[in-house]
Amino acid sequence: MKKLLFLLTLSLSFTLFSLLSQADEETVQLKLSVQNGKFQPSELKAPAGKRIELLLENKGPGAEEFECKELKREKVVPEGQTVKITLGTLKKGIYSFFGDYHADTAKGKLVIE
Amino acid sequence: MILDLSFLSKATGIVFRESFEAVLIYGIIVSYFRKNPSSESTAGLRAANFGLLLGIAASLILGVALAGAIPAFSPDLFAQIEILIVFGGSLMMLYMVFWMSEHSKHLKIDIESGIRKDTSASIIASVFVAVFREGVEAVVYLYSLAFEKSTLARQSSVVMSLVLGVLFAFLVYQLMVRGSKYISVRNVFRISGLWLLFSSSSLLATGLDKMYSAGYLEKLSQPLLSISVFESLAGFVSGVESFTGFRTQASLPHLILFFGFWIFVIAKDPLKFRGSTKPPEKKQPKVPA
Repeated sequence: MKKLLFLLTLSLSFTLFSLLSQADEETVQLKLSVQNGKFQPSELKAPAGKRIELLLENKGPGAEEFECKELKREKVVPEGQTVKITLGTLKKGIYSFFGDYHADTAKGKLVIE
Repeated sequence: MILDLSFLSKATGIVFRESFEAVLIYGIIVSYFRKNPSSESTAGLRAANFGLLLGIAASLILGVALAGAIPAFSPDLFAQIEILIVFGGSLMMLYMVFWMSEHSKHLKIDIESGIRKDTSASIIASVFVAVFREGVEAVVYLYSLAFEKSTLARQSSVVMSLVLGVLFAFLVYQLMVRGSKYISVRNVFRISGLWLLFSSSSLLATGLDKMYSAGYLEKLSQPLLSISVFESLAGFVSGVESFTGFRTQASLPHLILFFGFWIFVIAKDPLKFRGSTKPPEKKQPKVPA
């Protein structure tokens, strides 16, 4: 029984390890910036079926929170910093996002085609 | 004092929204202990207050750090801390429900022995996570707005919104505690238990989403289940998703955690919805709120 548990733990940790290691698929990096409560550009395009990473630079003033409800992504970006948000592989469609701290002006969408 | 009114109402709304859930969780724990006066409840209340203070302190410190006051404090480090806190909080809330269930068996016997250490820890952690989760965002938001435009109107509005938002939240809390006097112990126990279970389940899903966002478990992050909803229902569905932890675009780990969680809870039935031989309810003495 103990041996079985040990083997199970071992195999589980191997799976976990391989999953935690970087995906080796082709990655599309999208660059986005936010300044004065507005996203630049306000529309991003990326192909479907490829791994997508979003690099968001906050040019200020103040912090901003990137939020995409459909993709369940929420990330605070301090002023002057760039953060990486992993979006993964996405299906075709339009995903809208906004800046939670300037929700009335900071709006944008990601078009996957 | 000069105020920026449109900004003030918006900021107050945000402070209230962010503190509402924390107030609910703190409120139900406090109501629960007020309903069961014993030596344990004093310790329980103390633990809840400690968790509240700890949550506020951590939100202030990490929020200000994250807003850019400490450049070395990276958003990535914060994301990792947050993932740990979210999963830890979820487990602690689940544990609390089981503890409350165990505890309610002895409702009629006034237990002289104080609250157990592990229970205190779970109460502290539950309140802490409830406050911290949204609190840290409110702090980042207000901090950066206060320094975005350094006008007196803006900064006094930030302070006012904080005061008003917390005041509204406190009013809701008072209503809850007062209202709970008219509800039986069993119902307070069930309502609060259900609320904690949903919070716990929702935190599990949030934790997973935060892991995906940080690039962990990426190979498993593809949605297996995909339910499309009408555009007009999107807001409602999104609300249901964040309250229950269910995902209309669910990945394999989401499905495993969500169904695993609820199968476990339904099998164990900590809120005792099953069970035919319910003992007759005993009237509890009214406790001043």
